[in-house]
Amino acid sequence: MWKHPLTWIGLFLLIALVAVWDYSPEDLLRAPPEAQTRFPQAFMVASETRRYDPEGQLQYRMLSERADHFQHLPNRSSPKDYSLIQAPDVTVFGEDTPPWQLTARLGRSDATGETLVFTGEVRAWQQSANGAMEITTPELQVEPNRQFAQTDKAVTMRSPQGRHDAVGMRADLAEDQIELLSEVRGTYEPPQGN
Amino acid sequence: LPDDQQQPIYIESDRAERDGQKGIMRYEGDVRLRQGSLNIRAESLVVHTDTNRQVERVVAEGTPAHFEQQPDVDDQPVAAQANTIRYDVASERLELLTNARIVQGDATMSGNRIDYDMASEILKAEGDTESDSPRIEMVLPPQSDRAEQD
Repeated sequence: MWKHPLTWIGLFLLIALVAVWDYSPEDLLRAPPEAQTRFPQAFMVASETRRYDPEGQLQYRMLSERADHFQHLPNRSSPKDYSLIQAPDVTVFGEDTPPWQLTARLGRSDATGETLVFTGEVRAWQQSANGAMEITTPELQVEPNRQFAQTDKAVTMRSPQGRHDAVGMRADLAEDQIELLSEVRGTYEPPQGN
Repeated sequence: LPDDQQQPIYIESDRAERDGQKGIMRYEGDVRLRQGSLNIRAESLVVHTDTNRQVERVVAEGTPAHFEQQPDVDDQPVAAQANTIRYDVASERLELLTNARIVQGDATMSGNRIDYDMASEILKAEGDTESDSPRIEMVLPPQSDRAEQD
């Protein structure tokens, strides 16, 4: 039976049918998705976004001048959706650590809101019992639910431990552990009045 | 130099990790510390800061870690090495632990542990019967050479 060409053609058609089953005719005929994402599906001006974790704890609050939400597929949401946030002003709340503040020129949130990428004069700072901490970098990826931030760009960290410049950083904000990944330059100023 | 302790401390390394809760900064990979005429080179180095955010203590480790400083303008540089070098910034004390050796001009001292008070330039050395340098070894140049050096 498998030798007969019709069997193979039939199998091929069945596979093709299943493959396109998920798409409606308009999806197939419409221009490629990239061409469409220039136009936001929705936008908010002077917006405030609050995100809670499954237990109802506030994870972060984000104020912005404007936020545009782009949908990959016109009729429904998909994992490729994203939001662009102008002048984000973010507060990331930890469980038992003081919050982290963050500002940047632009933010981009993925479809789930679990990964935020900030670009343009990114500044993150925290005041804690261990002293004031400030991180500045051109780009920073933040995962609020994991209280985790990282960058592969140049970064400057000002902390009670002096000023440090490096390239690349990984920060566990909840544990107050920060790794500087390469080209580390540290400066500790002597006590004042010496 | 006498005012080394009032100079900023500069550190370079391949990587670093900050533990904010413990108030320490750990540097790894070709670590170089400079404070005035004082230099430390090591494979890893930890900086401990006090509650006033000042550097309290530096612990360098290497195989060996190296230390160098010009005690005073007219003095010859002091060079030291050990597997662990502990530098207490406020009290200006240096502890050389394991395979310790210190050299100034032609004078050398080696042992398992050497404590060096940088302010008073006093050395204290210990041997360790279990270690491979059970006794202290000291070499002083002949009187004539020493007069020339002074």
